[in-house]
Amino acid sequence: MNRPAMPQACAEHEVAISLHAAGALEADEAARLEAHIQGCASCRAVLAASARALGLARLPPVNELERRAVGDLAGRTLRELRSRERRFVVSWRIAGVAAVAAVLVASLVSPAWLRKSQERIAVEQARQWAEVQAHQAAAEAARWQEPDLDELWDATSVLDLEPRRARATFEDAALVSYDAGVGN
Amino acid sequence: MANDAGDSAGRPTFRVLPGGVTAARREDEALVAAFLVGDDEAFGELVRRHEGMVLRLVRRWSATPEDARDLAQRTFLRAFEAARRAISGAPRLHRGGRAFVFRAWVARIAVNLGRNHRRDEARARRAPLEAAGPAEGARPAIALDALVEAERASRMRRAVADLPRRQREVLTLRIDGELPFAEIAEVLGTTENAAKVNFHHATRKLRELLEERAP
Repeated sequence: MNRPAMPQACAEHEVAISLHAAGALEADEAARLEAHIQGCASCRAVLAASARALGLARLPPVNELERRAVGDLAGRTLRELRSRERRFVVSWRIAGVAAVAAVLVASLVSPAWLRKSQERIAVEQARQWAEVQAHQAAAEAARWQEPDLDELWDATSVLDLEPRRARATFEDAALVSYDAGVGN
Repeated sequence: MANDAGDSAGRPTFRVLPGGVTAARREDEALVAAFLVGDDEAFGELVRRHEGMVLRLVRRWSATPEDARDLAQRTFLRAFEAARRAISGAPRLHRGGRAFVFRAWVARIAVNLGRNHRRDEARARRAPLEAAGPAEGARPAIALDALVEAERASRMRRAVADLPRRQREVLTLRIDGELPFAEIAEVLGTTENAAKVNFHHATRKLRELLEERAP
């Protein structure tokens, strides 16, 4: 069986019909729409269907059970608010005391800590200096090579003895001749 | 405020709040300021002024009346904490330089809490509102008809929960919170026309669903 087509409102009245179904039109707008609806079966049907749909979508009135449940909502809310405020104040006080305690502890501990810190720095510097020295010595040792004996021999003054001996001979002769002259 | 019974055609009707929105806002601001300097009476008065709206907004997403009460309480706690920060001058809480409006904040927070609550699918499925039956005045005399009507209402409420976010927010702020569209726009940070168009799309979807399933 074919279902009859749903009624369609006149396009220019669609929104107004929905608002009128919710009782949201101003008096003059409502009067104009009512005047149109008197002669327009489609708009009349849409208005009736809209009002029915909204009526079904609305909640039933607040019943006694609900009314009793929300009794003294103001008092309950105020008590909860004051309770939160007290918790907030206590939290801040605890935070304040903790901050003061932290400052006091820091002021007591920090001089000793700074002294220890300076000592630690000095020890650390000495350790680093010793490490550098040891490293340099190790590098020096690694670079050392056993010298070649011939080179070492050439580098000594032993080979210079002969010329020096010759010079000595010359000097001796001059001395002798001097001595001889003096002796003369 | 809405007349829950609606008119003879079944359409809900709305009463105008005495004193106007601006006067109510000024009173809210004065009460918030008084509370922030320690006036507990001002706090009580503020909660009493808005608890009806908050309860109507959160009960759609609540599993039990106690659940609704807890959500309402959380809504006010967040609103007051936000008000304290806003009034103490935290610039990030003055959204885009807009003035602080307590009622709009409360509604926004209630909508957000409801939306977050919905994420818990298990709780959403056992929402007591499904068991509460159709609205008073809509109950047919015959039991079978009553069951069919209750099933339709249940389906419509599930459909509301499945609407796109903005459409759902606008719809619930209107039919649950009973807010005028100017206020809905303020709560959602949009324009009044955009809110109305979203409401129309939501209504059309619900209407089409109802007509599709009609016997």
